[in-house]
Amino acid sequence: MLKEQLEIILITYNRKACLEKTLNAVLAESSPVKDLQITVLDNASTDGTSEYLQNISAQKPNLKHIRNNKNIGPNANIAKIFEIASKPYFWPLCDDDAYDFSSFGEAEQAIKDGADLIIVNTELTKGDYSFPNMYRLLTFLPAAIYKTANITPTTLININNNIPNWFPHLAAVAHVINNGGKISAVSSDIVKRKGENDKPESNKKQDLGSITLPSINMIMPGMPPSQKYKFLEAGYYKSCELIENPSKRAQAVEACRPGVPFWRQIAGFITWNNVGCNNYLNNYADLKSVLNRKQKFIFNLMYFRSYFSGISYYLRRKKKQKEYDCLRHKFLSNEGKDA
Amino acid sequence: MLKNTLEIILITYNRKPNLEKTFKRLLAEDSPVKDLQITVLDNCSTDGTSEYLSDLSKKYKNINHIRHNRNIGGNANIARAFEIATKPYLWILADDDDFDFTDFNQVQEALLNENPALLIVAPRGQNLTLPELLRNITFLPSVIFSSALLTEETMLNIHINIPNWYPHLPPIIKAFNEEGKIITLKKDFVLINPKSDSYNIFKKLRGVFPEAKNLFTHAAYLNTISLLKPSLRKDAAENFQACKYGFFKQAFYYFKQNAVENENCLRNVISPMPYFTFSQKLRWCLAYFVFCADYIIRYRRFKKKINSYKQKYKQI
Repeated sequence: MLKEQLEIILITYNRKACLEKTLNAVLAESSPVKDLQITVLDNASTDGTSEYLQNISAQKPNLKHIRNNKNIGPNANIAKIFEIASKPYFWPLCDDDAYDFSSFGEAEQAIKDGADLIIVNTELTKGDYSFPNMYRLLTFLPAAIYKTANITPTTLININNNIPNWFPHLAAVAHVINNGGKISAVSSDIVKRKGENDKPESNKKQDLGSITLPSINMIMPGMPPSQKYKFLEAGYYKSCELIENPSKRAQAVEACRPGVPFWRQIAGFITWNNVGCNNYLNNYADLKSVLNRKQKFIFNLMYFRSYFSGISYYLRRKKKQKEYDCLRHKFLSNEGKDA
Repeated sequence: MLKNTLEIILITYNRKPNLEKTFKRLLAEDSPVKDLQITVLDNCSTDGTSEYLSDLSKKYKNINHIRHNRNIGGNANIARAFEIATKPYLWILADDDDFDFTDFNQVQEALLNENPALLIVAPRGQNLTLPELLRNITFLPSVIFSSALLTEETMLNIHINIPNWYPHLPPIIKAFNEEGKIITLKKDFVLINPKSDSYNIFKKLRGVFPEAKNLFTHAAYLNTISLLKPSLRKDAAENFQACKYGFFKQAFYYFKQNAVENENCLRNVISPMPYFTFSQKLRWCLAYFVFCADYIIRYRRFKKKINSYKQKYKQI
């Protein structure tokens, strides 16, 4: 019975319209998922989602509503998923995606075969789920079904320590990679990052498919600078350190932007660090601890290039600063236009 | 009434004899604390504490027992305590400390009459300057927090600070930054147990995130100080170790300890630098050069120290 094997855990905060759409899709009559146990982790929302969820949980017995006492942030909420899971397999979901359950039977088959990771969305890498691209793929949280036997105490500690790095769930993925687990995938996507009617501007998601500006929604004035100036790529590089095998780690680092040569990725990182983050030193320290010898050599070359390219560097930097400020202004002004 | 203003949250993992002692102290007839609401966050212990606590919670109505599904680690448990708080004031206790409840009226009067943002209950000294006070407050049961400090920002900062060893420092730093009312009492109500083992657990675990393994307490302290205002940060960083030496010597001993305990981790050297003033940065770099020269000349002696440390704490 699938009911005893798989459960779903959902995260929300102040997105009532999106949540209604997802629950309608998940609890529809034609979905194979409507009888599973669904727990919703509600991060103390204030726009009416709590009452809505209480009404639904009274009607449907398989829906459980847990409301956190206070808003702990999205990353800590993701870490809570891994603490709560009880059945042999669990599938974490977000509240702003679209669903297509046509190939769900393959996932059921993979669960019966005893896979450690079942990949359910290959949108970010266009169908490729082999090792280095898989790590980038799984920055998107609903892209995989996880096995609870893989959540040992050390992985939970790693997940909790990875909270500042934007992708705490990559610690569970790294555990599977380090210990050689079985990974299987589904032929067509079950989850989709955006539906047909979503605008591209409202796609402010916490994965490596969207714009790599510092995550503007989460910046508050009282935050420590180590978090203000850490953008999604920096968080990705830091969580690559969880992979123990050095050659695999190097591959995962280079897969941050597939198809782009490594020196160009590093040059982009350095310009973003100078322009958007006021030349924050810790981003360099974090990158350096992750890189290979060869990659460190390239890094040093590009770093010195940014300083020795003379006056043109400072002029280019001023231009980029203006572009960055315009983009940031656009981002912030579109906040109220979510679906 | 103290019952409606203060609540206690206890954090345990696999320490049954110590826990029994603390509860004897807390629930004795003399103690002024036996009627308050006490919640115990049990981090999925395996040595019988869960059964002991469920029996206790049936006997006493003011004790609430919460057992997590899995062991989330000590620091995340502290962050969970902040999330659960409901009453105006919050006191977090560990399970291996001694208490001294004579003259507890001072605490009661301070909380009910003066409404402070922070009440420091174990300052371990008198007439302390800011850096000394901050260092002493890193001991978790020595502060009573007001829940007005726990805004969205501070909750985020608490969870960001889980890998840095002090997740309870952001609300304290907020009180210092905004110059809220901070009252320090003249007596220690909680006494440290010098034999506590909680800081060495990470070194024994295999497979733990290298950043967490190689980050030691002084580096974590400097990272959390980044939240302070620049004027206060200057003073706090000058004296980040508990000794009477100047900044240069403190930095030198820091690098020595880094080489022995953390395999000369470069991140520990670079990560505090953005938060220093210019003169501190200069002294830091000079101390690092002097240390490198010392290390190269006396490599053999350092190697002996490193090997003896590894035999003690790491699995080889």
